[in-house]
Amino acid sequence: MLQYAGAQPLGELLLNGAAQKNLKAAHVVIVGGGYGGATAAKYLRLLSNQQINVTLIEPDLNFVSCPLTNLVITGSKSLSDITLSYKTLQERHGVQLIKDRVISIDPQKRKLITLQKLELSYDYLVVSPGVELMYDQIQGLKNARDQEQVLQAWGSSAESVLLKQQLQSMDDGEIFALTVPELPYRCPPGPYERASLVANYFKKFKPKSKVIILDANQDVTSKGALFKKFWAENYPHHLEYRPEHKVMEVDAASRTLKVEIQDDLKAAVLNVLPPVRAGSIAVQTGLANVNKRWCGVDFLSFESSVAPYIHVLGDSIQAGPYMPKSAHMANAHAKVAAAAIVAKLADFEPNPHPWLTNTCYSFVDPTQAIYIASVHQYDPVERTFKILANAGGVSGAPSEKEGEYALGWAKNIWADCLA
Amino acid sequence: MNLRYTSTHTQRQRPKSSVSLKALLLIGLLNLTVLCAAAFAQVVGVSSSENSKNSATQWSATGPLARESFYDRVNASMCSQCHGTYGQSAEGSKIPSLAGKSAQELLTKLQRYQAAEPSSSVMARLVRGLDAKQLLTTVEYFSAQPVFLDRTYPKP
Repeated sequence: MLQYAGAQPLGELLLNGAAQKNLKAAHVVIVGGGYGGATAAKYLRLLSNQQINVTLIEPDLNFVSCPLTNLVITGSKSLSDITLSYKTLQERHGVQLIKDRVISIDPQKRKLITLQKLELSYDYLVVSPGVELMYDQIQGLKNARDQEQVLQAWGSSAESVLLKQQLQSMDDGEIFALTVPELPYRCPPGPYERASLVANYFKKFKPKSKVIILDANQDVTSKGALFKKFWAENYPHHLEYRPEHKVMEVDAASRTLKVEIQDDLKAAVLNVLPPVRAGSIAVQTGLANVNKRWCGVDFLSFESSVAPYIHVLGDSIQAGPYMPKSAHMANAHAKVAAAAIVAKLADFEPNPHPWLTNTCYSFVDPTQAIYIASVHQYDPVERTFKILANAGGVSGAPSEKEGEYALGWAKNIWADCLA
Repeated sequence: MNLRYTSTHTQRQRPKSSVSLKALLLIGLLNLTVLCAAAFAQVVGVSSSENSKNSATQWSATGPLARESFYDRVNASMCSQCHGTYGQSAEGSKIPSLAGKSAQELLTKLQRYQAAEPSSSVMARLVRGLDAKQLLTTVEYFSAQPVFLDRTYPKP
């Protein structure tokens, strides 16, 4: 137990006997150990003073960060730099870890089944599955992807390693095509960061090559002015941006992308990001009630708007206005949800005035970064989080100092999720 | 599980000798701080000068004050993505720790960020999103946290 003098542990909320008993008897199961799920596991333990029984079900052995992945693909970080163990959640916080995949959930009986045929009951379920890539939205993509010819590297560490190999084996003068789906998608500035770092790699190692961005959106979706200024000044020969270019079809044999209305593009590397939706377990359980794509939630608790006792976090939710699908946000959702579950079990009202922060750093070269930051306060009238117009914004200019803060942010958010 | 730690008071690293500018700012802020502290005491039910041995006792009630304090702590954890759980920044991170610094020192810094050019830093951007009460409950929360010797989150 936490016994230090002069400290206020998060869960220091000594309750009456009945509430204590409720917390101690409760079992909360978490589906998915990304930024949202891992944070929920840790904070359910911290906020209940280690009373609630918490089980985290995650198919991967280790936590691999999506933020900083573009530095791995372009060679300035290694995969081990962004890989962390889940063990601390078990050893420090008493979270039960199960390496498995949830294949079905019964919201009425409050039970779930895993791939390895484990059956578990829950009092509350936290569903944090990330996103599912909708390969079928681009003709030919599923097949090309299955043959590892056309990669996404958008959440899969194995694909990140393969994409790095594709990049390194390009001949000088060849083209790297990167396609961006329409919003909303996971990590809005991520594709532009990747393009920047690939352009930087070409400038150094393959000066006749270039990256071409085919963007389904009308303009760069995040930090646009900063990215475009940096590209114009630093990568005029190594990066080309084409807005309103929606990819309809992939022809893996001829390495060609067919674009709606616009010209086709032939390239040596095709890094095609399809549209995304809520993780498949959420869709399959019927939680994706918004356009069959995103999960509606009550923003005071992140409880599903269709299934009681199920809380949905992170990229899978139908977000409020200007709430990006980011790691930082998923961590913030998880804290609000964990506190609300503790409150419900201890029989008091969830926090009526939560707020969220968001910060996303993007590298424009291996050392310089830019940021976007925002604050989201809960509005009780509209029952959603509202971005504050007077707070938040973007960097003045890219800098090495922000690059150092980006790495410092990663260390601290990893620790906040896992350590 | 016992945690290795030292108390806030013995381990706290105070910044190097303050410059006269800081003294001037502190004098200027004194009135505001006193007002804010009074507001905080009303909300959380403790005086900001009391240490948390007392406040832990006060939180033992299951009344609205204890709940409000629980909410404030969860809201304060919205700073932990960047500054670490309990405001304890990880080893090697350039982002400063908040744990164990005096509430007044933290408040003064945040008010300087509020007055700074917004694009100068992430903190200058974010701090504009908190009202006076949120600022105060947040700095009080981090100020009450212990500082761990190895600059990492407590080990078992």
